Amino acid sequence: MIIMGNTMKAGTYTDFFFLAIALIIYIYSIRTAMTGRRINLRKLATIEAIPEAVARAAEMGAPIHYSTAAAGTHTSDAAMTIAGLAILGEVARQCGKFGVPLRYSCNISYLIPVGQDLIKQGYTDGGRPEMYNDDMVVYTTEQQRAFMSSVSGYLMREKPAVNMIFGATYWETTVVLGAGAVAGCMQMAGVPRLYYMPIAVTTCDYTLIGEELYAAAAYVENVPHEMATIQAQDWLKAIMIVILILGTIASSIGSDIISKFLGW
Amino acid sequence: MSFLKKTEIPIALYLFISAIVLVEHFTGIGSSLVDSFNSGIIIVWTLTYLIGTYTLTRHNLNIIQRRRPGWYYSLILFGSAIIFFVLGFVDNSKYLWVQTNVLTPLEGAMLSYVGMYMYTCMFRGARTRSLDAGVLLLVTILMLFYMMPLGPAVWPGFETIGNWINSVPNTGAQRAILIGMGLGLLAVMVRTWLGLEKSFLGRS
Amino acid sequence: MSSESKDEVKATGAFPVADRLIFLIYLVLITIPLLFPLGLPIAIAPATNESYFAIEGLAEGSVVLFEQDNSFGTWAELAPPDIAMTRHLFKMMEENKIRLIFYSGSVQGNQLSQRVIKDYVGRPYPFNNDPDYGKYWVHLGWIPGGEPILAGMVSNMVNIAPIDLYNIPTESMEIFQYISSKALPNDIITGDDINLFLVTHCTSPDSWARQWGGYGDPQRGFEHGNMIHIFSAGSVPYAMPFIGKGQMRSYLGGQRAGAEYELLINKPGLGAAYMDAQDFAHLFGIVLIVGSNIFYLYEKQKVTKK
Repeated sequence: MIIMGNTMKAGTYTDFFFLAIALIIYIYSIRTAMTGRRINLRKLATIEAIPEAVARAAEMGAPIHYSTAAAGTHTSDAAMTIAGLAILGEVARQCGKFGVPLRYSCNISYLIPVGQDLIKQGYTDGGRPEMYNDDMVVYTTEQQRAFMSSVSGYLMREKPAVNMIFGATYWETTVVLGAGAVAGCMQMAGVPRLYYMPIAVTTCDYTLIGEELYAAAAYVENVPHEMATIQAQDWLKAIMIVILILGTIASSIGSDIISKFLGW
Repeated sequence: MSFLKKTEIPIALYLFISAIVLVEHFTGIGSSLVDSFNSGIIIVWTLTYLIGTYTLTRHNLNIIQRRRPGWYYSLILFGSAIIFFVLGFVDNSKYLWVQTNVLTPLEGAMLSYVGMYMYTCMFRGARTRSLDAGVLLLVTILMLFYMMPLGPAVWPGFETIGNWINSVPNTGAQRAILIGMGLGLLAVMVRTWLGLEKSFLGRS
Repeated sequence: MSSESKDEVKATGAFPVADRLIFLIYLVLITIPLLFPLGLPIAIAPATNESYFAIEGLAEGSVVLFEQDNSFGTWAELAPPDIAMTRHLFKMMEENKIRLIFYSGSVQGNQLSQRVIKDYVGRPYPFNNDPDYGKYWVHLGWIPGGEPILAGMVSNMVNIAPIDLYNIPTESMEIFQYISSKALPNDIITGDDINLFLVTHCTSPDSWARQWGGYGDPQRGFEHGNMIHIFSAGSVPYAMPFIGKGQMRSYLGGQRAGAEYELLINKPGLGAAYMDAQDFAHLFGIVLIVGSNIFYLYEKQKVTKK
């Protein structure tokens, strides 16, 4: 297939070059991981604390509340939401193991069957398939404010033992974590967006900051291709740092070679 | 019909559409097909609202039938939804009245919680426990002065400092987040192409 | 939250006393200037000036695409800049015969967009009763679909919006015939035919930057960015990378920007009315931070002395 020369649109050569490099690195990393290459990710305290949190809920006889924030998989937040769903699977498994009821507040309609499937599978893997019921997934409509009011009302009324929010966190995080703090829940959050870190750090017992959310999803799933993806992302970031440094040096000495290359 | 439940079909569909969109982005080939996809999204998106309405109805009907705690709230939800829906067809002025005088203040009140919780966070969490925390608090105070209407009017230096903080350290951090997001999305795409990403299909 | 506060919460089942006091003081502080305005000065930010001059500088016959995705919850925050900018646009439409295309990507945005144009700008309603409707401005209504719609609007607008709010085919409208007659190389209306992109939203701007940011990117030969966003003050940090690169020309960040814009167009309204309360709210925040640290250091000193 002819894809170079005058078939390509102007200004997209560098984009294509980087996309090709990224795809090669991702696919190479995934393939070698699936043939048995061991990848180590550093321990994440938040993920290590999930069994402890679920055990606490079992002792208190209180449920656990989980949400993946007010976002779905159809936007640029897809990776964050998918990471949140992966952690939901692990939380459901631990809930099945300890016999703790779980409520998943969901504000995207197509995530309802996804959530139900994940939780059902989690309870089955944990050894208590009979505990699962479809009402564990609560749909709060697509509106962020309806999600906020539903979750904060639930937290204040039912006072679950643990409140978790992992995903594409936005404004609702402030209200969800604030309400959880007032209700006295143990709180865990994964906030990939910088802006909500202060509220997460001040109100949560355990927090995943920035890229740790993606690493946590790979950590819980513990499948080679997920770990390989995290490693590939680190390699790509290293390449970008090199280009950044070269670009800074080039601009400082008055050369526009890097900026021309990036805009090619 | 069990073949529709196979995971290969959605993954193949995903691969097909994403490949066409990528080719169109780089070469311009297939732009009319991509235009069709874009306009087809309108139908898919609207259908998701139907799914949402069905799920909401089923969930709340279940609560009412089983007289679960708070079942009357589900009745109120149905009642208000039906009334609002009917008003939209029957009497536009009353519909707008409900929108302006009921919905807007209710939603605004929910969003005001964000500010309220921020204040309690400022009171409880903003403590100078270390040098880093002290610098952070100083920057917070400067930014508060920058963002208030009176601040730059009293001393223009707040505008200069605030613009510098927004344009330099903040921009660097936001760009790093954007790069991370982009790489994450690329990873999801590659894993889905290879058939390894199935969480969106409900399988862990 | 401290363990003492948590115990207090569990015992009383409500907010701790300190929190309730903070809320009460906050409510009193913002109510007073709303009831008794003080007229505190408002500085005009460079971003607001840039947005104003971007509209003022539109040549005759320029085309503006305005996506209004406000929501009921953020009405208080986004209505002042949205209303002020829409008023300015209609004034430019009457003076310079610029063309305006409005639409919304959300249900609430669609309702509020019509409210702004009907109640605050004062255009005849239904809009197709307006003699200028269809000729100088059009409202395409709600077009769901998220980012693919943004991509579609700049690759083939008529394909994405074949009808307007009143089910009139857009191809038959004078405004679209005018734009497509200028469209090169064929009659398809793309992003190259739009002179200014405006968006009101309450989320982060990256979707629009990805799809519309290229039209005006200085790295692609444009003089300056062609996109202005209206969003809450909290979203300003998200926009800075795009401002730095030139994909976004400027922004209006929340109520304060709305108040500044109202002063620039000489029509003080909702925004200006809220500014005294904003000043008090910000000052209260600063007092809370300073106060809590003084209290914390005092307690720490007491413990150290013991």
